[in-house]
Amino acid sequence: MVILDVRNISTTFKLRGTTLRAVNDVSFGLQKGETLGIVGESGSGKTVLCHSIMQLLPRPPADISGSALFGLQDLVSCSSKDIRNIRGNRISMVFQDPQAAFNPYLRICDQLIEPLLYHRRLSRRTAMDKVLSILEETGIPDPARRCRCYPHEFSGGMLQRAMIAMALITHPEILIADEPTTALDVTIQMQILQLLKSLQRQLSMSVIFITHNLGIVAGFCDRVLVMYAGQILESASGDDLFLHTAHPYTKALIRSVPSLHVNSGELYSIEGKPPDLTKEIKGCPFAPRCTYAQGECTEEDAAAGLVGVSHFTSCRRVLKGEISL
Amino acid sequence: MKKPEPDNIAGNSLWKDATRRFTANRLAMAGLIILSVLVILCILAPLVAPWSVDVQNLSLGASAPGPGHLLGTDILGRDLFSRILYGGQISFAVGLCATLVSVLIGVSWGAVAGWAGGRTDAVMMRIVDMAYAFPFTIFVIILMVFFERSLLLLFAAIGAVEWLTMARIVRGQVMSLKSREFIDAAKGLGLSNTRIIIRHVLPNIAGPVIVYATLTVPAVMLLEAFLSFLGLGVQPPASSWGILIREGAEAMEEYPWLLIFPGTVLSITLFSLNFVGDGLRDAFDPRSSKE
Repeated sequence: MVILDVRNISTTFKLRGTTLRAVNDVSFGLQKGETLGIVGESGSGKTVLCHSIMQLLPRPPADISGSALFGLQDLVSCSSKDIRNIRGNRISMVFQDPQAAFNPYLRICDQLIEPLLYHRRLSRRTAMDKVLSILEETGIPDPARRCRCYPHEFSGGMLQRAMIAMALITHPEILIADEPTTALDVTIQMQILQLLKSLQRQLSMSVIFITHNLGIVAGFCDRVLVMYAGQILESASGDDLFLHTAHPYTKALIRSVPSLHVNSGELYSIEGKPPDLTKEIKGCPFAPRCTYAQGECTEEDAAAGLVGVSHFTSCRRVLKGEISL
Repeated sequence: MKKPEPDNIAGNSLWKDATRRFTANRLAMAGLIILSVLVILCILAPLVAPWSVDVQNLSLGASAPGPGHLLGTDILGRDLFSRILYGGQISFAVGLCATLVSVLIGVSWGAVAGWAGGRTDAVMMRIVDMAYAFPFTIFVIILMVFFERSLLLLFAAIGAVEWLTMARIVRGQVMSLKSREFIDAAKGLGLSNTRIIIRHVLPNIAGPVIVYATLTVPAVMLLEAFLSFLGLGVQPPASSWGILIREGAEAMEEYPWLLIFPGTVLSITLFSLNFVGDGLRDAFDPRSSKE
C-alpha cells in the first residue's frame, strides 16, 4: 500500500534574477513499512526534496510544483494549519545535527513532551510517562534523571537518540531521517541504525532515509533512489543497486568507497564537478562526467525506463543494452 | 551536580532552576536584599518617616545631620531623610513602570519584526528609526500640552521612548535565532509560529532582555530627573531622587550632605540593580552554571 505518493516534484529558487533548479521532476511512492533510501552527493537535492514535501521551505524564494499525496491530502498545497497537524504528528523528521536541533535553553524532557502536549493535548503527567518510556526504549540510561538535563549535558549519540525519541513519540506513519548518523562515530552509528530498524518494525512505520553513505543503504534500505543534480538517476532495491547496477553514476559512487581489501594505490574519485543548477540542463545531467557518454547523451532528453522489476534507470545506453556495468 | 529526586519530575521548569541558581549567587542576593529594603522603606514612608515631608522649619534652615534630623535638613528646613523616602516612591515607580512598558512594547515589536522579516520587518524598523529621530523633549512637551500633566503620562512618555533600543536588540536576536536548526526542528514538530516564538525564541533572548532592562531602570530614573528639572516631570512639593540630587548639587559647597545622601542612595540602588541584573542573566542561562 502506497502511503505517500510523490509526483513530479520540482523545486526552484528564484533569487536576484537567477533561477536555481534544486529538485527537478522527482516522483516516487513510499510503501507502508518500507525503508526508502535517498543517496547522492552534497547538493544533489535530497534535503530540499524532503523539505519541499514538508512545506519547510520559505515560499518565496522557493517555488514548488507537483504533488505529494498523503492519504487524501496533498502536502505541497494544503494549508499551513493542515500541514502543522501532520508535521511532528503523522510525519516526523530527524535532523542531521542533533546538537543544533535542540533548543539549548529547554530541558530534554520539556522538548520531548512538546509534540504530545501540542498534537495530542495530553496532560503533563501522562505525557511525561510516555516521554520516559520512549527514552527507555531508545536506550537512554536512567531516563527519569537524564531527561532533566539540558542538551549540552548530553553526548552526541545520546542527543541523537533523544531526537529519534522525539520524532517517534507520536507514533508517526512516516519518519524522515535526514542524515541522522552523519555527526556520529561508527559504533554509535550502528547502534542508532539498529534502534531505528527495531522501532520501525514495532510501529510498522515507513522511513525515508537520506544519506550519502552507501554502506547504510546496502544494509538498511528496502529501496534506494539515487539522486544527482536534483533528478533521480536510478531507483532499485537495495540488493539490485549493488548487484545489477544500471547507471554509470551509481557505479562511480560505489567505486568511490575506499575498500579495505584492495590496495589499488590512488583512491578513485569522479572527475569534474556537479553541474551548475542555475543553468538549464539538457539531456543526462551526469553526461559531462560520465566515461560512457556519447553525443546523444547530452543532445537528447534524458531517457527513462525499467531494466528489471521496479528497477528504474535514466541511462539511455544501459537501456539500449549498449553497455553493461 | 546535585542529585535530582526522580519523583519530582512533573514540576521542573526553567523558572525553578533559575531561582536555584540565582539564590546561589551571593552578590545578586545582596543586591536583591538591599533593593528590597529600600523599596519597602519607601513604600512604608508614611509610617517610617520621622517628619512629614512638607513640614518646613524655616528658622532651622539647612542644618547638618544630627539627632533630630538623621540626615539633616534642606534649605527650607525639611527633613532630608523623609524627603528621600518619599522621593524614592516616585523614582522607583517611574523606574519600574517605564521599564515594564518599554520591555513589553520593545520585546513584542522586535520579536514580530524579526520573525516576520521581509517587508513587515522593514516597515516596522523604519517606524522605530523615525521615532528615534523625533526629539524626545518636544514629544514630551506636546504630550503635556495636549493631556493633563500626570505621573501616568510620565511613565507612558518615558516608556514610549525607551522601548526603541529594546526593539532593535530583540529584533537582532530573533533574526539570528530564526536561522538556527532547532527552530526548523520546532517547525518540523508542527508547532505554530506563536508557540515557537513563546516557547523557543523568547527564552533564548531572556538574557539580553533582562540585562538591558536592568540598565533601563537607572536610565529612566535619570530621565525623570531631567524632565522634572525642565518642570515637565514631578511637581513640588512632591519630589524624586533626581530632584533632590539637583537641589543638592546647587547647594553642595555650603551644605554637602544635601548632595551626598541622595546621591549615595541612588548609587546604591543602581549598583544593586546591576548585580541583580547580572545574577538574573546567569540564572537564565543554563550553560553559565558552575555546578
